[in-house]
Order: sequence, then structure tokens, then C-alpha cells
Amino acid sequence: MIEVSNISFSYPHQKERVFDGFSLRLEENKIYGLLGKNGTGKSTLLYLIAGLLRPKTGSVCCDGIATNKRRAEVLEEIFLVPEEFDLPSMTLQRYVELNAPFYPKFSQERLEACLRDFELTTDLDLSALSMGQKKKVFMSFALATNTRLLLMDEPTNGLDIPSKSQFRKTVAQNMSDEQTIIISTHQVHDVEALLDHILMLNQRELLLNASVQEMMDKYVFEYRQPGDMDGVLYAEPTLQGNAVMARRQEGQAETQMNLELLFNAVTKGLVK
Amino acid sequence: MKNFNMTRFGRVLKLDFVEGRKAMMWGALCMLLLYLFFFWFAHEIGIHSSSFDYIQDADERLRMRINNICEAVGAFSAMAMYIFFLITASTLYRAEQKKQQRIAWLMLPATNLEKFTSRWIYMVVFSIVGGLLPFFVADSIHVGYLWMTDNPVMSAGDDFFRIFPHTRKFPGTNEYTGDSPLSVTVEYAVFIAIHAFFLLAGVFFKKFHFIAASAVLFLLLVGWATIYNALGFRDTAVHTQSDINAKYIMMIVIWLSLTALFTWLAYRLFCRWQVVTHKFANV
Repeated sequence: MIEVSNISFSYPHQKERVFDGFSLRLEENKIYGLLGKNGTGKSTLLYLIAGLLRPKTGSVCCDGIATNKRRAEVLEEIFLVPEEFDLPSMTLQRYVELNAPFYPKFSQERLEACLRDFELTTDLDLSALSMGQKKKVFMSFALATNTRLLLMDEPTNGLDIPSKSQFRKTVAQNMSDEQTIIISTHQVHDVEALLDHILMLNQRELLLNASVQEMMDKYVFEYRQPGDMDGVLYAEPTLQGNAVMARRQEGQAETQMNLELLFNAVTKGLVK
Repeated sequence: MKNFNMTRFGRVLKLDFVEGRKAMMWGALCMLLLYLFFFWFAHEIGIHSSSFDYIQDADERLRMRINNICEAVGAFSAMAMYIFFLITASTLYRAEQKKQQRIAWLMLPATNLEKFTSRWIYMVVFSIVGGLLPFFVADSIHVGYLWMTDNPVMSAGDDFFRIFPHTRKFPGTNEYTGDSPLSVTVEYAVFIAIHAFFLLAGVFFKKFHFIAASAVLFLLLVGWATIYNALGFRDTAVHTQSDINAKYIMMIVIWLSLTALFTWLAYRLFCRWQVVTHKFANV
């Protein structure tokens, strides 16, 4: 669906390249987690995919069409939820009336369902909402557009603790079958239960591009006592003992993935 | 045309007008207050001036003074309106200089041509509603005031529409422009080209749009005048009317071509807009 081919990119006022010969292919109907430290180019990659930035070389295509041409038929299939955004001073109803017609697959029912999941009503004045509430409304609208590609940049920033679980629930329940979601975040705990596929970025390169299933097939994530550290790839001391990531042995039960542990192991070069 | 869908264009236009109506109302209100200020100030100065003291007849003297006030207000208001038009053109994309607004605008599922055209139409309507209509309101209020205070009733409308000085030397000739339709068309063509230049500057610059555009235009004019004089283009010969008309037509074509060029460049630049750009310019 999305093909990032050999792109190089640097910002106008910077000499150093954010990407150099970077390639990536994104398949349909998956939730991708785009992880990386601050300043590794997560948002830049989202903007490049959305066509908001132009690569110096290479191309970013959605179904074969370069996204930076910003063709209407491509934009109808891409929705970006940026980390910070502005909503106009009007009612939600008016906002939907003005913006929904741009998205041919927009679903009012899905909007209402998402708002319900976020414990909000449809009778809202956008100018009277808090930042967190605005984010919930905007994410609900984003899900309701039913675009094939939904890009979310730090979606849980600004959400309180109950809202973070509401977010996971809302995305899981309201994502359509043909939709692909890319969630860029450094708050890995907020999204780890949602993801199908993990992309880890370091400066200029993709450190990890693997499905969650593949990771769970290969590794176990568990707590062990200091005397039981055989086969451990990476460990971090915690109050419950050592949180470890180890190679999964044959016949060993699958464990829930600990994304933070995996992230640290990958960034330290212990997992490739 | 794949690049332009009327239904989608209508939606963009609706969005522009709904989101921009407050700015339009504020613009109109500010201009109305400015025009009313011109009328008030001109009255304060003009009604007691000694300019027409030589006229013996008091009624005639008053009529002349009010006529003078209308002339002054018409000229100043026209100048203010044209500056307003240029400011409107140069700040057309001011909101989109903010990253959040720019993302929302660029990600809107419509073509660049639809977005650009919609914003251009919004600008034209904004100029009329914000710059032109308030003058008629202010002039009507002034006419009403004159009528209620038993003064000679006069409108400043005629002077307002007599935008450019009518008798001045036409560049490169010894002839005066006069009131011929061709000479007036040349002057309008020049203004339209300058307006398109400010539109281009509005798309190009990220900050201080109007000031930056004015500065660049000033430098271009100084440069052009220097080259013009250095190359000895000054034409002092006396021409026939048909020569002058041919020159007018050529000038109209040149200025309208420049208008098309500036507008096209603005559109092409808009197509290449990115979410993160240089600090001062959208490149």
C-alpha cells in the first residue's frame, strides 16, 4: 500500500540528513507502531508518508501515486492526526458538516461510537473543550473518516490515564478491516497491546521491522530472579526481580510482549 | 478535468468562507471605522478652513468646503482601500504559516488548484466586503449626517472611484494620460499586476508578508528605473494619438502578462509547499 523507496531527506535549515537511502513497505490492515527516541525522525517519516514533506531523492507512494503531489484521490485515503492541532471555533456538528463530505467513506455511526467510547457526546462546542477532549474528538473524527491509512503522531500525549485505555479500546473496536494505522510514539506502554507490527527508527535507519507475532515467537518477556538468567538477551532490574527478554525455547509458552524492554534491547544493538 | 472537481471545489469554498467569515467581519469593521475617521477628521479640519474665504456667498462657500472634504476623503479612502487590497493579498495564507493550520489545509482532500482558486475567490470577496462595502456605508452615514444638519448633501463616491490622478505624464512620452479608457485601463492593469505580486509574496514569505512584499517591490522599481534610465529608454519625441494608443495596448499586455506570471508562480509555489520550511520563506 505504502512504498517508501530509497528516500533521502534533510530539513531546509539543516545540513545533516534525517533519512539517507531509507526504504520501507507498509502492508494493508495492520497497526504499525513507529518507535524511536526523540529526534530520530518519527514525525518526519509520517509527514513524508502524508506528502507534507518532499524527499530530496527517492519517492513515497500510496498505491503507486507519489503522496507529495497531494492528489485529492490520495488525500481522501490518508488522515493524519498530528501531535498538536487546532480545531476551529464551531460546534462538532458544523465541523462534521463541513469536513466529512471530503471523505467518501465517512461514517456518522462510527463517529458516534468513537465518541461514546471516549465518553463524549455529539453535542459539543469545539471551542469549549480541553486539549485532551479535543484530541479525543479529533481521533474520533479520524477513525470515522474510514481512510485506508491513518497516521497518528503521539496520540496519547495529553490524555489522562483512563483516556489512554479508552484510546486503545476505541482504536481496536472502530478500526475497519481495510484500514492501516501507523502510530508514532515514544510512550510504548500506551500502545503495545494494540500493535501488529513494530518499526523502530534510529538516526537514518530502521533498527527493527518485525511483526509482534514474530517477536513473540522468537522471544519471551518475563520476570526472573538474579540466579536464573540463562539465555537472557537483555535485562532490567525491577522491584519484582529482573525484567528480562530471552530467546524463547522450544515448547516454552508465549508471553505478553514488553515493548519497552524490546525497545531498549534493540537500541542497544542486542536484537536485530 | 481531473485536477478540478466543481463539487469538491464548492466544499473547499464553503470551508474557506465559514472559517474566514469572522476575519472578514473584523476587516470590514476596521475599514468602516477608518473611513468614518477620515470623514470626521476632514470635517474637523475642512469645515472651518479658510480655503474658500474669498467666496462671498456663505452657501456657496459651505458647498465648496464640503466638496473639498468629499474630495479629500474620497482620495484617502481609495488609497486606504488599495492598501487594504494589497494587505489582503499578501496575508492570504497567514493562518497557514502556523504548522497545525498548514497540516490541516494541505491534508484537506482537494487538489492544489481547487484550494488555491478557492482561497483566491475568498480574497476577492474579502476585499470587496472588507474594503469596498464599508466605504459605501461610511459615505451613506456621511450623506445622512449632511442631510440631517441641513448642509449641502454630497457623496464622496465620485472621488473615491477617481482612484488615479487623471492628468499626468505617461512614462516614456511627452503625452498626458488624460481620461481615455485605454490610459485608465493601463492604470488598472498596473494595479492588478501589483496585487498579483503581493499575492505571490504572500505565498513566498513566511513572516511580515506585506512589509517584505513592499520592500521587494520598492527594490524592483528602483532597479527597473535605474536600468531604464541607464539604457536611455527615455523617449522625448512627440507622438501621434495612434502611437500613444499602441503604447497603451502594449503596456496593458505587458502588465496583464505579469499578472498571469505572478499568479502562476504563486500557484506553483503553493503546490510545492511543505509542512516545515525555511524560517522566513516557504521554500
